[in-house]
Amino acid sequence: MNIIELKDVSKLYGFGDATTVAVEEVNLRVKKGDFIAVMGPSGSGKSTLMNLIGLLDRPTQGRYLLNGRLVDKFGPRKRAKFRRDTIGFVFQAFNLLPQLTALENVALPLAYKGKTQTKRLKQAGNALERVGLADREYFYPKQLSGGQLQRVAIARAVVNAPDILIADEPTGNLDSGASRVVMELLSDLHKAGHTIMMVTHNPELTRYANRVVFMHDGNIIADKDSDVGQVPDIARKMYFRTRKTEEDDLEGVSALMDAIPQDDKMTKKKTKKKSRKKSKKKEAKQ
Amino acid sequence: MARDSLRSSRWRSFLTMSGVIIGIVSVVTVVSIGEGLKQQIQADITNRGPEVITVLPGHQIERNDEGDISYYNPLQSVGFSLTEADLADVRDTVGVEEAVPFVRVSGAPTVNDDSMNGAMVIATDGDVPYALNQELRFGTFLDNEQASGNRRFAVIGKRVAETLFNEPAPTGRSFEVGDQSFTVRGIFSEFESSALVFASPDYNNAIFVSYEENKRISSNGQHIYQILVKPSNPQHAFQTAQDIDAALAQSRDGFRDYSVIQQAETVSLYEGLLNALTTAIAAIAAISLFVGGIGIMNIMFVSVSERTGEIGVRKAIGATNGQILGQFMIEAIALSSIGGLLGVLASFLVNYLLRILTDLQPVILPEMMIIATAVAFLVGVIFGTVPAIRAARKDPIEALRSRL
Repeated sequence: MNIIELKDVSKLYGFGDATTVAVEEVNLRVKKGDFIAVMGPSGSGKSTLMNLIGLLDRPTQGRYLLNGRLVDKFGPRKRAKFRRDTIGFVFQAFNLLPQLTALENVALPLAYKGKTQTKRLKQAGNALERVGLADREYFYPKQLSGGQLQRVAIARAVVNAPDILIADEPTGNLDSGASRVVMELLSDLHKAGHTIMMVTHNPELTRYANRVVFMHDGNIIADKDSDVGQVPDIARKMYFRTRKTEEDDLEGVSALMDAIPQDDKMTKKKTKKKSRKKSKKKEAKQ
Repeated sequence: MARDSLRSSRWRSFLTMSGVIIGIVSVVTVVSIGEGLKQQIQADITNRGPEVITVLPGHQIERNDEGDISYYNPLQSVGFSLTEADLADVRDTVGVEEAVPFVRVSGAPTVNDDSMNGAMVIATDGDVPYALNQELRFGTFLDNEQASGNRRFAVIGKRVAETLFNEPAPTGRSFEVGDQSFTVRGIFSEFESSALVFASPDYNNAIFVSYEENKRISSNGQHIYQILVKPSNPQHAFQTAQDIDAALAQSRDGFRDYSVIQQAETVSLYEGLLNALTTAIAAIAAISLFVGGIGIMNIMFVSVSERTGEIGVRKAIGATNGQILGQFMIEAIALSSIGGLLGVLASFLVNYLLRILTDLQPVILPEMMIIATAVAFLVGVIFGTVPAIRAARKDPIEALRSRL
């Protein structure tokens, strides 16, 4: 059975001449237990698609069946509850609440479900144990490393036992070592039967997925099954296709910027994305 | 959750609460001062005896159909006075046990050229200690037989004794009023100081001399400014007052240039006045509560926009709009309610200071505390709603873009 079924789903922003099509008549079926890597350049509609699937947003057109239920007409309250029970989010920026301990952060979704404090903390403790951070329960986010933060965030996403895990560039803010740990964790969750949708820019990470979806200008332009452990050719091809311009010169600058301490990496990444986008436009003109 | 965010910015929370604290303190203090005055008046009246009837010159009061005082203007007494005939009428009324006339005598008492300007000399007749419900500390009160001798006697209040003679019991010593000499034969024990000086004079400053003596020596006529009446049966004080009123009306062919008031009635009279005054001042003080509420609203707006990212995360992990609304409402209500409780506590401190530093005896009633806390709670509800609605309506996708 398909856990996610999108039929001609579109998302438009703005009105009249200023209308932007973020997602254009996308059809997508996701089977239970799939680990899907969603790739594509910035502005290709990946995040909008994730927001639609994650019930943070409503499609302008089309139908969305989640777990067999038609959810695109749900009101905000019903959507929030459905989101709470079926979907877990993992963000690039971790998004843990700084004033709460790791344990309290993980327990938060349960609070909105109305569970008692004792139950909440017990369940949250189990979730933290699953991500290997049982000894960090009472640490505040600022006392944890990036990799640990993302693991806490994953614990928070799965504490409610959701059907779908949506991860938007989960390793985007992590170094390669921490990325590996996080990806192994997601892979374990996949093996345990979770359905995972992960947005990534890194073709190497598609080796953890059993299906790769490539988006461009709001459309799914490629959708391939792949074996876990393999990086499908299409991922490399699609990824490097955008890079064969004078952009490569800029990569030299990026390499220099890699030497700059961690904090500045965010800014670097943004510039990189922007320039990549520009080059894409140029390409389109030619 | 609300607790966490309040805890994380203690200073800001406290400053925000201070608006409510100040508002609650000012309202509670004003009301407690009013309540204190009311209780003092009550106590005064009880001390003097609630059954005592006062006959005053001039048409000072008006009564409605139920017999309650509907209008009161003490200025109506100016230029009027009661006569000896009135006094006789009052004394002849059934149910009157004792009727005591008060006449002001002009002039200041002097001892060895030292005079006491604050003293009031009152010529009177009858059992004044009984009518005033006050005992003598030393000596005995005037009686007509003894006043018939050559010497003229006087009974003085405690402060007169202290000021004029510098001793607590100057029995047998003498003083002059004008060209007349008086000998002290009694000193009153201390009169409880009255809350409202204009309601009843401070008899600690009084010198009582004989009515008959004064009539003999004074060149002016006798202007009785007040007759104090003790009814023989306190239970029937109301009936007696009506009888006196009727008797006086009859002798004047219905022309009512006099007023008959029961002591108990003066309570409600002054209570009405105090209530109006207290309400007016409390209303002004309540403005600061309103300002405090605006402070809470302001800080909640700041908090909502600062925590946009947090709202986004909470929504993403499944918080409904109602739950977000609830969280921010609870925060606003916690701010205002804690402010209210602290305000009530601070009111006790202010009360204590007022009691030490001033003559006021403010009283905080339990219902004042409950109402103050309830009002503070309401302030939170009223001023927290709009920011909370704004928080609840935030678009989760937009909200997730801002920093945590």
